[in-house]
Amino acid sequence: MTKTEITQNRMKQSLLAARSLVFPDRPDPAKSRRIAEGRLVASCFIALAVFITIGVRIVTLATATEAASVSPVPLAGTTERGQILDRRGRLMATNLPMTVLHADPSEIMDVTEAALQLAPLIAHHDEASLTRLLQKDARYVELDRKLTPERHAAILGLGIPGINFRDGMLRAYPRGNAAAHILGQVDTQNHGIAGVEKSMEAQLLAGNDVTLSIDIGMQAILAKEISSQINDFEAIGGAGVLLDIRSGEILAMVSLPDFNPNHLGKISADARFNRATKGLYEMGSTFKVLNTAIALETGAVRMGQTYDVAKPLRVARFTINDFHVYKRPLNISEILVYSSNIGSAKMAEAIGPQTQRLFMEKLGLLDHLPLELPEIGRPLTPRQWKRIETMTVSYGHGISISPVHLASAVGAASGDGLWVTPTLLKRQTGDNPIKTRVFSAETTRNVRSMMRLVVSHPDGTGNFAEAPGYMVGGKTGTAEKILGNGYDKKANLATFVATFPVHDPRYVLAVMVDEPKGQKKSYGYATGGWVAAPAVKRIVEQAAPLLGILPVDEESPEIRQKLRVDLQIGEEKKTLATF
Amino acid sequence: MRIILLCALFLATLGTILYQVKTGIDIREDRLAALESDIRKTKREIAVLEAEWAYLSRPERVMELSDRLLGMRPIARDRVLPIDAIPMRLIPQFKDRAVGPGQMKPAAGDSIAPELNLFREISGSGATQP
Repeated sequence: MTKTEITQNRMKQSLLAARSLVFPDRPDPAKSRRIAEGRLVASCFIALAVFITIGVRIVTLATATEAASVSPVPLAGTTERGQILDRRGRLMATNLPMTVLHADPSEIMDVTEAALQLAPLIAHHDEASLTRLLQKDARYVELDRKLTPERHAAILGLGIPGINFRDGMLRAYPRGNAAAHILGQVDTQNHGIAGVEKSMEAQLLAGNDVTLSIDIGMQAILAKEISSQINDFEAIGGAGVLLDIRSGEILAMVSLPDFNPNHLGKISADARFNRATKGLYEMGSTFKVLNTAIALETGAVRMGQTYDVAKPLRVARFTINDFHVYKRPLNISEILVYSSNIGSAKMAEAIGPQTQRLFMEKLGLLDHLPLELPEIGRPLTPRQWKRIETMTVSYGHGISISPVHLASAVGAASGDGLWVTPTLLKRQTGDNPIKTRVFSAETTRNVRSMMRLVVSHPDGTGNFAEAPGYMVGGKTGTAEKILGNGYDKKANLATFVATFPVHDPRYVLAVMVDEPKGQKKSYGYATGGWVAAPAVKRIVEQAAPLLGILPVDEESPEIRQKLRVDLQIGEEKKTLATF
Repeated sequence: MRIILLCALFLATLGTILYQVKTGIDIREDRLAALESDIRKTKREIAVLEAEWAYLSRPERVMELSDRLLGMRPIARDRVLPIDAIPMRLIPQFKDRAVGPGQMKPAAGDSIAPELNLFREISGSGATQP
């Protein structure tokens, strides 16, 4: 070993010694191999864990997207409110998609500017009210519930921050005022608050459609003609009911003044009031139809029997008068055709209170009708039913009923003698309406024949209701309205109840005009014959062809044999008596 | 060792197939949802148009329009006859003049207006059409 080598070795050793002062000793190779292997396994496990995590995440995401794809349809869960249709499937109430405009006042930067720009585009707000709304300390204010697509686009174009849109559903009544009282309305939460919308709530909420018995064509004819009489006679209102007496279906029912159910806020209480079902009125002489039918049915009075009506009838402290004084005795047909109160009262006396009350009950006049409406009135009936009440009820006083009550009762008396529960829902095929027999076929035939004479005989009170060929029979009614404890001489209720065609009775039409004023053209009269009868004529003329009623020749033998033609009206000709 | 490997391979294949099927179902379900939403949208549009039709075919409006434009009157009763009263016979020389269905030309401007009248009426903006 050279000297240099020795020196080098020493240096190496001293370096190693110096290293060992700083670093630990080198491990032996076998040990370091074990360590390296351990690290390798550990990193393997870490890598595996990472892959497993990613895999699990992928699977979770896959299931998550699957769940999310079902839910983002907001309207699928809530069923849409059912539609309301007329008897021929025509739309009367439906749902329209509408945009709701709302704002977050905290996000609006320039309130005055925003209000200025929005004001012309929002129907129910002006600049001042908008400014007030947008300054509210709230995160949500509703500006318009009924935004049309056009205005939606315009407001979107303004680009005001803090103004937002939301999809909404709106209950819409495309026919406007037609049948408004029957349809009713919904509140802002889409819950029925009146009419069929309320009474059929459960069915509508479940998404089922409701088909009414109403025919919108008939409805329009009634509304037009009755409102024209209201205008002509400066009346405060009116009502009309067209009833199919075979099925009990109400084909049309109007109450005037009416309203547009699309504009919830603007409706007055008077317009909202359903005169046809909730309004209770003393119907006056139209009751004589029922009185005659009851008298004949019970046998209290025979056909052709006469009554002395020359003197006013005094009962207790009341006096029963007639419009005209007839010196000679009148037979029962004349009592109806001339509308004699005295004669009717005397006939009622022969019927008796108990029997009269029983028949009124059978005709549904003592209780509210089971109509599919929340707005139905319960008749006001005499508290005690004695002799005087029997007499006044015979000519329609002392008992207050709704026009639908009148139509259904007269339907039984002038039709086939069966009382059918009236309904606003279309009868389905196979439905058997419950019918109660009240009168015999013979009785109703007599009553119908007399009702025809009211219209067709020159001395009848209902001549203005004559619609040639359609065989209208009917009865006028003019009742003074109740004022406090007595009657208001100036406030009349003019009614007409018609049945047509009388040879084959199918429809009953009741028309009522509330407080008509006498006009020059009616010579100051505001009676049922002058006010309600002309509307009946025009309604029948327009409705009958649509209902499939063919005009007939009254003088033809087929028609004559269906009616009684031997009824005597007016004095017999002297010449006939002498020969 | 080989058995384990084969099993692992088999499982991996099954997993892949399952994943493919699942993805396929997802795509189909997405399409179904899109179609259903399309149907709902179309149904809604039909409902809107039906409401518009109901609004425009109100008897009051049609009566007013026919009064003003057609000059028609209620049918006189001597013009109404039962169908049996009319002998059904087509006169040969007029046969070719009969207008069949679909031959009537639509009037100009017969298209769906973007802003429907019913919307306007209900929301109380703009003039109401008769």
